[in-house]
Amino acid sequence: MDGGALIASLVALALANRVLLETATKPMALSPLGNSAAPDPTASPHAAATAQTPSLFVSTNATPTLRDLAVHGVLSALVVCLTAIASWIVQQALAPLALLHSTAFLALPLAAAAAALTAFVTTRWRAPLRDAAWPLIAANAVAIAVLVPAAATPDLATALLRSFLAGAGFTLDLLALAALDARLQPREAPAAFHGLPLSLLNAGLLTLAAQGLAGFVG
Amino acid sequence: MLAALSLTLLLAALFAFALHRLVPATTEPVAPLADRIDALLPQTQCGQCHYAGCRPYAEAIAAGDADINQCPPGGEVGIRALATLLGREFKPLNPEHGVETPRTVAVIDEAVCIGCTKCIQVCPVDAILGAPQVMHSVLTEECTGCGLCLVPCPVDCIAMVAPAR
Repeated sequence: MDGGALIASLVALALANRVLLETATKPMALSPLGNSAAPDPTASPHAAATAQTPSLFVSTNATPTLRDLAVHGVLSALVVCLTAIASWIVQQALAPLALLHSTAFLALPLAAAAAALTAFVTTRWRAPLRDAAWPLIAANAVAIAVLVPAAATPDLATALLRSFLAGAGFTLDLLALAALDARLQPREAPAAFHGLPLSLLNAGLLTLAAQGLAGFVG
Repeated sequence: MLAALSLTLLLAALFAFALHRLVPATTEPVAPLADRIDALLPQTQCGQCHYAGCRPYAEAIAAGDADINQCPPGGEVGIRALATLLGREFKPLNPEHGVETPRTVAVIDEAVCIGCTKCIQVCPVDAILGAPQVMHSVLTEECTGCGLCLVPCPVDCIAMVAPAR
């Protein structure tokens, strides 16, 4: 897969993540995807103290904030890297037996296991991560493992580096989309364009820009 | 292999640092003042402080409506603990609320008990077992020794004794 297609896929994946994270909180409204977490001035000081620690993701927050998206992206990248290591090892072990034709099927259980392991460890370290969208993170790991087949590379370091860069790119796309939405939801735009349509347009713009960059580099 | 290993370590450090910065460590929330005061009170629910029980007294202390020297079962030790918690001067127990006595438990003389249930109704911790026209008995583990059951007993069959242990 060439760089441009990979970037476009990552942007599409990031957009799907944003829409899913958004709609998981408000199932009835595909409202603007901007970050609108304004603190409630009437809340008591005690509630403000608890709200200061950002409640992560779906269970509590109405709209995922930039920080939530960053955590989501970093966790996804972490699971992608773990999946890459695991699938590379399994591939090396199974290669002499010629059992595997497609590494995509290998990524499915390995990504699930890696996500479960990451959830197990990190929630003991930082309890708020319990609210992270772990199934979505596992799905991201599968998608990125298919886009960047780590098991196919003979060298573990290369596989790991590629997976990490893909995960980092996914995180950047997630943040860039959120930042674009925060800036490019003009009030003068037609009402039908508000929210998801403008987000799709923004994602298209981002992909176009990244494609140009890919052509520039490669 | 060395490159892969060093890259793994580098990425691990990177992820740990990123998550450490992004997800702040949660601190245990400090319990409200009334809860911490309540935790120091003896939970006899005897009402000698002129409040309905230990929790209302704790809330009154927290609100500044009551003094810290109104709890005879807590005694000097309890007043000192409250003074330390609230950063106040120790003051001796207010005699208006009673005197400090050793801890006791209620015992019902079952031969005399007529099963009137009056002591069951006043017991603040439900430590008395019984039914109308049936002999009553005290659950020693639950009894706080508040003595509230002594007054309503029509046949004076309840005595306060030193606990077995």
